[in-house]
Amino acid sequence: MNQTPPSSISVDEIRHHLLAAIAQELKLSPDTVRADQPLMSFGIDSMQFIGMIGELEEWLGCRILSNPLARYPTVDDLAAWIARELAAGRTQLNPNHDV
Amino acid sequence: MRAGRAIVAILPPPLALLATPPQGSTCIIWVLPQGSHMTLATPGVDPPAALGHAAGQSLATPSASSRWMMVALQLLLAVLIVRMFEIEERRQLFTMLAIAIAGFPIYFQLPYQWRSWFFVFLTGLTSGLILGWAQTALAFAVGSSLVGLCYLPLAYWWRIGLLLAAGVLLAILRSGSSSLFWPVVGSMFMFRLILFVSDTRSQPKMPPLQESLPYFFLIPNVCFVLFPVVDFSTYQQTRQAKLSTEDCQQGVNWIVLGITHLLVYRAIRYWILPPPGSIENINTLLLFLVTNYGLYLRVAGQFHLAIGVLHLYGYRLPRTHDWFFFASGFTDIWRRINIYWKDFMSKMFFMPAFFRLRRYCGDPIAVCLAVMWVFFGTWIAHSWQVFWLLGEFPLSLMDAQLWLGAGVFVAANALLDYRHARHPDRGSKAYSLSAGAYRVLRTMGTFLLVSFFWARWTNPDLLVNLQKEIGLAYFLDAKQWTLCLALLAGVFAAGLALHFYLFQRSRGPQSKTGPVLRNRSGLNIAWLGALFLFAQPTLVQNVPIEWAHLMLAMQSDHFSQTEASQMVQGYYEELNEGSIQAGLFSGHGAALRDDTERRHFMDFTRSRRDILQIELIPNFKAEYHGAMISINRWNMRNHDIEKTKQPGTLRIALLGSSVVMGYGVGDEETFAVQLEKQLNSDKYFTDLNPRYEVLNFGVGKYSPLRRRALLEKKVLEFDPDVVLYIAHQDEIYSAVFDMAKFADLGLIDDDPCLLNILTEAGVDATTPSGVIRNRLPNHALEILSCTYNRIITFCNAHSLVPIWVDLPIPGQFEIPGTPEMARGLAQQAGFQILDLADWADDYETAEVMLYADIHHASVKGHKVIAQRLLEELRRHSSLLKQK
Repeated sequence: MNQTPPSSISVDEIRHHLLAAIAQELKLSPDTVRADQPLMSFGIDSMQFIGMIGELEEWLGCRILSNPLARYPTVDDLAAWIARELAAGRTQLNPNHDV
Repeated sequence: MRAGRAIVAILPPPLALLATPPQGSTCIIWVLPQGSHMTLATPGVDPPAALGHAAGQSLATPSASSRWMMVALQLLLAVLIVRMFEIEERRQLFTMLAIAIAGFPIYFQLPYQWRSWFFVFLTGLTSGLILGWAQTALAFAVGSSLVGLCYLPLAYWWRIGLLLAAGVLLAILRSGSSSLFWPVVGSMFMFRLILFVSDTRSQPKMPPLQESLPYFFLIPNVCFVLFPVVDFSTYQQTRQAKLSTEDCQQGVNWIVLGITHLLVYRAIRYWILPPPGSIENINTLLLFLVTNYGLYLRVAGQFHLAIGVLHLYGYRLPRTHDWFFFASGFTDIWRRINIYWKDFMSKMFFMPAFFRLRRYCGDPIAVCLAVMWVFFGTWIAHSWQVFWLLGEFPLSLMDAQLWLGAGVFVAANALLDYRHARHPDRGSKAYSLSAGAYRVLRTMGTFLLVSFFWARWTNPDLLVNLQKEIGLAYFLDAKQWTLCLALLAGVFAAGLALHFYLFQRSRGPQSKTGPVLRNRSGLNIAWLGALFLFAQPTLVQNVPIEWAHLMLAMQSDHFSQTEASQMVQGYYEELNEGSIQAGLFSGHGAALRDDTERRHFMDFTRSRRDILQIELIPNFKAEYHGAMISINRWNMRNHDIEKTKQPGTLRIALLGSSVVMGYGVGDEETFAVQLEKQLNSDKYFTDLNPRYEVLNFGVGKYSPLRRRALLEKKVLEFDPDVVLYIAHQDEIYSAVFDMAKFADLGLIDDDPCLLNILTEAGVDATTPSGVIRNRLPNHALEILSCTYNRIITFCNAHSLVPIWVDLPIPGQFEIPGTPEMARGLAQQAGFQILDLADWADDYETAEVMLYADIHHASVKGHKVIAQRLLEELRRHSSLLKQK
């Protein structure tokens, strides 16, 4: 998994990071994890999810302030939202304020 | 076959082509091999017209055809097994399953926009057949109103306010109401409405009504009120437009797994679960803890069945339980047992709390506090659930301690999990014996701790009672501990071997995770077929009687020994047993019913210090449920009498239980009074004796031992000529129960025969009561035999005619000892036998037994008993002779 802090990050990189993290947590092959399916449908639990979020925040240098899954349930949605927020220069990400 | 009747058949194509519906009949045929999709056809009509929009699909491949055949066969067998084994009969599973299985082929033939309405129609049909149409109308009225509120064109918080107001109103209506529709409506809306409101808030627009209604009105929910909390988003995302053989097979797999769970649950409940009273050492305690936890299989089985049925309708919902007995930690059990509940709590409690808390404190503290918040929510949510299902709100501090205590363990475990998730282990993938051993020990420890938690929750007084009635010394017995450790070592070794096997398999070529339980049709058919054979009467008739008894017990949905005994005799409070509940509500319901019965009976009894323990209060008079209960000055449910009988009178003394006493019926309605009237008005009998008096000595809770004592202490004073001893199915059980109680109290000191039994059983003044209860059942027949012999000796000494009346209570009660055994002992002792075993055969149970209490005869029941007794006495009139 890429541990290098990014300077400008793309949607694809975030998507790839998330898919790799899910595959590792669930001991699955990365190509079996689909980015357009709800993240929780893979069987990932809340503790694994917040662990992944913590790792993601550390990598991206941002902070997620609210549960993003209600609005962005799939890896695709989540990656796109984070990339959009970062591109807008925000580091405190609140999905409830992004309508 | 009547014209105009709908016929549903499952046929392969050659048979479907041959099938012709009778004139005027609508014949729905599953034409099995239309590629991977099921289609509907009417024989005799051109295929394109009959197949509608499905016409033109590719011709079937043989493999698709055989797959559908297999699915149809499995479903047919599953329904048969549910019927033959009476699985969840009291919840009418058969009705629900039959409708669901008949309905889904039609469902997939309808245009997409009509399907939801058809699904809701099927739910209504199921509900109408199970609850009745009036209750169904109420359920749908309340449910539709709640859904309607969600669709009002108002701002979100206004709708929430209206829903809360409606909730308060419904809660007021629910309190104190026993209408059947409440638990069903409660089950449909108490959690799913919260998820619906939450999920639709984050959606750009409200989903169409026809998509929302089936989410609440799920077909299996009518049958199972304890239902998985299906997430609305998951429900939306998993719905399939077309039915594939894979989805259908998956649904069948869940249904078969559910049936299997329920059968295993039944076996544990009937055969293995020891009553709490039989616990007397570490091994019986462990057996109780483990099997008591095993009763949870009922919930898992119901959930599997529910999800399986929904799969048939294209809802590809995830699994609800995941090998929860093999959980290896506190968070692991939380994520394996009732997964939908975990997801619900995670979504509504954990996630919002965690993300809010982490703004003020670090992530680790936020994790711990959010977990505690989840367990606080679980405590409240369980009471919320009990309220809607049962109408009571049991918010106890003991439960709070238990849940919050469990929360502390889970929080600590969650912290470790969180750290692991932040810093995943990327170490060696090679097998390590120490890691395997650690995992197995963790699994065993988790299993035992969860068993303990479950027992504490379902039977709060268990440990206190064990300490009081058995004492610590019995649990420290070295021999038992050696055996216990040997057993645990064996389990550990087996676990280690299993762990190694699973590790090797996970590294093999088949390690890729695929859909769960795929391609299990052959196994399902073999298993269901074996069950089908197991239930064949021919097999039962050709095995030893002990096996036949067990096989028949497995095939019926009846009360277990402990439950039945409690209800027949009303000993619930004495056994102090609320333990054998699998769901949240079954134990509560039983407790309520029994408390009510006890309060009424105890109102007109008072205690005694001798072997009788209680007696009716002299001159008591009161009305209960519209029936007048009068006790005469001699503590009898009888009109006033003098002890000395008039010349020419034949006195019959009735000895028996609450049925004889006439619990639940008025003074003039007891069979004792009616028998007396009929004897005195029937010329045949008045020619034999000018006058008859039937003296009712029946008292609730009086076992054979107490009846014998009553005969010796009191009955003789009234100078009877005949003793009618009325026996039910509980003769053997109740004799043992009372014997244990009296031995513990030191009340058996004047009966050499019973004292001898105590000596043989190794019971003395120092033996703890729990141990006495455990040992005496081995001497059950001897106890009853001693009692009967003593009654006969007494009757002979005083020239009384002893008559034993076989009067069973209608229904199946798996009570230790059969009526035939008691009857044999009575005959052997010298009783004359009157056979009333078939007294209720010509009537529905509801006719001859009380509506709210199936263990006591109704007014009509007493009439029938009196009539039958009269007939039997006519046949044995030589017994009616004065001394």
